[in-house]
Amino acid sequence: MGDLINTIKEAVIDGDAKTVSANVTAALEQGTDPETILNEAMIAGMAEVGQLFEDGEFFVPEMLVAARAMTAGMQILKPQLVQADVKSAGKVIIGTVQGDLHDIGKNLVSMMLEGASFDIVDLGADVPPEKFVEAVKEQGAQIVAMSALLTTTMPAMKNTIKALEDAGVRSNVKVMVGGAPLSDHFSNEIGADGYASDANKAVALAKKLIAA
Amino acid sequence: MDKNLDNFVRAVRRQSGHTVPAAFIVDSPWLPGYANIDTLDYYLSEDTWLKINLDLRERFPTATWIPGFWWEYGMAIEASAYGSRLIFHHDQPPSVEPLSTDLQFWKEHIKAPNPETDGLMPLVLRQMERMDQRLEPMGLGQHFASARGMLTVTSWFMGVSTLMESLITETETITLILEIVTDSTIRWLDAQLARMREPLGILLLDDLVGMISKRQYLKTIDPLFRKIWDHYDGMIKIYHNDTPCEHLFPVLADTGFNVFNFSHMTDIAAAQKLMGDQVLLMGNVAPRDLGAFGTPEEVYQAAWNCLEKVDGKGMILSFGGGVSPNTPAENIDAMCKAADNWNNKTK
Repeated sequence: MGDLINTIKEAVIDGDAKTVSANVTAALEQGTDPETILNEAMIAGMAEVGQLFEDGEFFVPEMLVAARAMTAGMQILKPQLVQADVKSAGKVIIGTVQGDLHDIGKNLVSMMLEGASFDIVDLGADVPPEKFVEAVKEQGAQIVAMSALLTTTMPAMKNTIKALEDAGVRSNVKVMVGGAPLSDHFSNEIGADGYASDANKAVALAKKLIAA
Repeated sequence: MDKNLDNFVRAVRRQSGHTVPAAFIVDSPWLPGYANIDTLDYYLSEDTWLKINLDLRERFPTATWIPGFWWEYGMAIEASAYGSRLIFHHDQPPSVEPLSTDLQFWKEHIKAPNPETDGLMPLVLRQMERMDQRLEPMGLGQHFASARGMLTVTSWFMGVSTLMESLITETETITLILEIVTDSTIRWLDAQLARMREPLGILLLDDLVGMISKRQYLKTIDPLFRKIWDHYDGMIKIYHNDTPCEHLFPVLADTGFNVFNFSHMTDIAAAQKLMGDQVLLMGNVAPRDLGAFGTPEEVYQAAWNCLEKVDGKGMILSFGGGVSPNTPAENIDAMCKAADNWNNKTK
């Protein structure tokens, strides 16, 4: 079993989706606990990917293919996890804010969060404040994660937080923000609960916000 | 040629007698807002466009504007020539949606655009011709051609995730596509330069290069990058990439561009150490946190720190990126004042 777990983990790191899918299937057929596959292969693999990114060994392309490989494995694993009643780390509503069509940062964060066992509700790009509000009301998520790449669309983050306040749901969720032009200072200024400068730090922040 | 541009050129060519220029990449995300007009009016009214650009020169008499008079539509010009959908806004340049994010689609359908007929390119070329007729009697002109680089352009017509993943999983296919885009970029730049009475060089903008590993860069991008720079041998070549990408600085240093507008997140002295003295560094005061939202005193101090760190050598004073939307005039004044004071001190 250890060999299969290790093969899946290495295949996630290498971004080899076919090997991940084949070995997740094989591990399940051998009777391996789905939670063990999730924690020791998938999450452990993505954690290493995050570390390689932090260390300057991995860049955006390597992160993306690793995340794709992880997603391929999760598609097979998810029904088994549901059946085994394995709890996720939390639920995150994520989107690029209104007026901004850039989705690379949002996608990376989304994939890394999924790799850390969060449930993701991806609203896509150019998301108006009311759509975030609607999702918070419907999804019962713990976190709203917003991304912006343009300085011109950063104010939409503040507008979205205000919309959450006006709808009376701000206290239901923690709000985290990210994107190239952002900073801790800006995050505090608009009343967000946290800022992450990259996808790996976003995972750490999400875990911290859930634990708070 | 105006005296500020002449000084900039002499600085790039390392000719004697130049002072440290204060130069700014100024484009359509900033200019219409600065002039308090609708972005669409900025594009549609030649009179307004010209007045704003001329007023800029009068308002900041010691600044150099790069690339100068620039018909700039954000990412839309090149992306439109490949068929992308454009979405126009009243308060920012047009945004772009990929036509297809399927690599196989592009493998089968990519067609090298003709700058004379495709997308917004012919419109921009005509705008350049028409403006030149008005600039010439004033003794002014357009001197630098501008284009987005091959990774940025490709990311806009096929989506950035598809592009980035393909660099690893479909190297052969994406390389063929990037070769077509590179050749098309050269044709687009050539078409612009052909409209200029006194062409001096090119400005290439490609942030995505900073998001890949050194290994990936050397394997796929470096030959294409060099192809562009080599094509403009003898001209001034300015490269803008404001992602933090120190890992590439040593390999970028000898690719062939002369001026590098880089991120404020890299210390200018560290950048000079990594790149050597063959590239002139253009930077690198924080464009948003200080340029747009700092005080003039903070901008002045940050600019002065940049000058002191490299003793004003091998550098052009600027922001670490373009001029951000909402940057007040006073903060550009502060930067120009820092350059003036430095130049007077070291006379």
